[in-house]
Amino acid sequence: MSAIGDWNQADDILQETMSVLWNKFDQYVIGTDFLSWALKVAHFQILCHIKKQKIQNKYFSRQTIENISEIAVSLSTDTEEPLKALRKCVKNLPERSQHLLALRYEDNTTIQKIARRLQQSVHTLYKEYQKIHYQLFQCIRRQLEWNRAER
Amino acid sequence: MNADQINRMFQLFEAVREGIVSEEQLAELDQILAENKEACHYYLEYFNMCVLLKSGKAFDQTFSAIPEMNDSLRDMGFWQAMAREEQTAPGMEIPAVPEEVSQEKILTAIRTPQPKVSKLSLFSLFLSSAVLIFMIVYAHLVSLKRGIEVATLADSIDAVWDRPASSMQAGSRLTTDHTRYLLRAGLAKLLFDNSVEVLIEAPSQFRLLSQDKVELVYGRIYAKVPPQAVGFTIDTLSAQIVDWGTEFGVEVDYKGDTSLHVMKGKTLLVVGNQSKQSALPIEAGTAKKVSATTNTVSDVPCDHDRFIRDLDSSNNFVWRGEVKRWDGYVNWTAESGNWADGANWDTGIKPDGSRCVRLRKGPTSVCTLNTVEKPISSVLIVSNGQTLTIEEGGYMGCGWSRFGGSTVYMRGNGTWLLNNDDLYIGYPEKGAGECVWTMYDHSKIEINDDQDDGEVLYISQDNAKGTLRLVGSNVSIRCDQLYVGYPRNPGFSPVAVLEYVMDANGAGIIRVGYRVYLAEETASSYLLLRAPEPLPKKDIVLIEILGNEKKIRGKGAFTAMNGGPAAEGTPVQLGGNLYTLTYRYEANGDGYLNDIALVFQTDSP
Repeated sequence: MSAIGDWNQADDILQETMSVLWNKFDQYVIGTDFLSWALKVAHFQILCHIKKQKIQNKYFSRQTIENISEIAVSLSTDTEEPLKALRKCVKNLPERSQHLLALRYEDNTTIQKIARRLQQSVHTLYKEYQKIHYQLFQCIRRQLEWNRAER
Repeated sequence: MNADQINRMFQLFEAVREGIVSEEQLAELDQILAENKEACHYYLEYFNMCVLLKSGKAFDQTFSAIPEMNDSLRDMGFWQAMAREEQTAPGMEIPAVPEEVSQEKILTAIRTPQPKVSKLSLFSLFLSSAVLIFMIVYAHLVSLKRGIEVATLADSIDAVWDRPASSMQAGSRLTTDHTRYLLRAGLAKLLFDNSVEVLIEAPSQFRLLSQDKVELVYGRIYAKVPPQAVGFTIDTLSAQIVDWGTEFGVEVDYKGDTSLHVMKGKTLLVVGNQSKQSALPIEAGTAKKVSATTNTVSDVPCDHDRFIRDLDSSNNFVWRGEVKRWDGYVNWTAESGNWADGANWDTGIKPDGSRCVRLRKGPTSVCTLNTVEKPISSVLIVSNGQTLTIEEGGYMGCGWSRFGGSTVYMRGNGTWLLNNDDLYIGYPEKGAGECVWTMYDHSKIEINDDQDDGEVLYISQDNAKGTLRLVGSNVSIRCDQLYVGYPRNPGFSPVAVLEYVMDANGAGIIRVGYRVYLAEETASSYLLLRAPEPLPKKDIVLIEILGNEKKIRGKGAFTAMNGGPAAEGTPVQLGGNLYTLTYRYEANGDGYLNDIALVFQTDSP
């Protein structure tokens, strides 16, 4: 199963979760933590999915999931600011890096296909994408910190 | 978290994301995330970035705060249509609280008037949570990527694979699943997709953890890592070897001890567990052994021909690091004669350097070299009691040379020049025996190469015995490293003899590039000193170390000198004088007390 496969699995579960959330919204008690409730539903959907698919996956430990869940709930749900930062950072990248990102994410092309198209090794491309992701990641963090400092 | 930790963590994030994460990497990431909440922040921020990237919105000029996650929310149109509709829709009343909720909540619900909630608000609430939910879902779904093909069986010779069964053949793809590949017999060459080449010698058992990581359960493998694959790692029970652009061999023995021999470049040797871990940079020409029981790291001789470095089944070629591959042999066939006479060789012509040369006609056969011969890329094997004499004018350039049971004489200005590989005086060839190598007059051995410091003069290996005798003060030897006694394999106790027959000017000097081993591990190193004539009333240097090695390796001293003690300061009467033996002499003004000499004490012992 490829990484894309995982993303798709996650996508599927997300859709199921959203659908369930919508249908079962009458079970949500206004005033309680919506995200916690939503996450519980998501967790249930994941279990159903695993049972359905009978997939043998290795998960993170309970402690890690708890940590991530705890922090995820505490994080801002605002996606506007990170997206703005991401756009700004993408624009600041070298032309080739922007091109590679567009190929992969805008055209939704796999690394293998991009490697064939650019006549490069998959390994080299992985390394290059890793570098670009890291640059972007650091850039976004800087941007958001900058924004926070300005407030 | 410091920069290195963040960088490492990011590599793990990427491995997860790209679907090339190994079980070990996942465990490592899990531990980081379980123990460090700051790391969890990073994890979520990273995946948030990935979600945004995957939404394609990063490249869209029209702003949208809603990550579509590509086709994941295929029904986004529905959501958005609904949102548009609901922008003007009246508020709705939340349905009654379900019966199963607790009495307390019912009471609360009764006391508190139900707020009216816009469907648009709900919609926004869902969508703004979607990214986070997605991340949680993804975190749950991180799975081991089993069965990814990462390498190809490029070639093999007489290979017998036990697991998987006989289906392994040239072109077979190897995967990162849990298969433990067992090479029961023969040799194999793997070519990873990232161009790393790995040579495996049976018996070996290994597992491919990812495209840049191999677990060696036991056996012997050699890795050639091109610059673009730096970071290639070999895991063993007791250590982890991380490549820094290099060639290296790793061996795991039956006890689980790991030996690392670095031939080119540099590697990082990581030893210990999470709580106490150390990382040692290991450079070319050096080797380390890691104990599986104590995790201690010790120096071992770097063995340049211990590992198979290449193979080619089309001509049954196997290369262990000798200067040049050999594709056959040129054999000495004469009872007596000159090297340069083609009639003395089974090929009818004298060796031209393209093939391995063997002198092993027998104990009464004598080969005389009195011409300039420079087959500098060939291998020379002398054994079976053969005698080789290098006379005035004899000059030999040769590659890797090993002398089993044999006798060698160098006379006149005869020079043995080994251009760029090792010389074994006393090697366990068939019939083992003893090699006695005697140098007279102005004869000279040079085993050094400006390209690296790896060329070694070995006196005696394993069950062989080697004697190197330097007669007079005009003979000389130059090498990069000197081993007086070399126990390559466990269970052997090599016996090495270094004998100086001095003259009125003192002794011939052995000059070593940077390292001397005396009585390494189970070896015995004997120093014999003779002076048939009066010696000069001054210090006499025996071995000079030109580099900055501060100490002599191995046991640091000879096992015995002239049958008696050989410790630092031991007195010895020679040539009418009294000397003391020292291993801490300063012979060449380099500032290092690392030379071996006889220090003149008095002329009236």
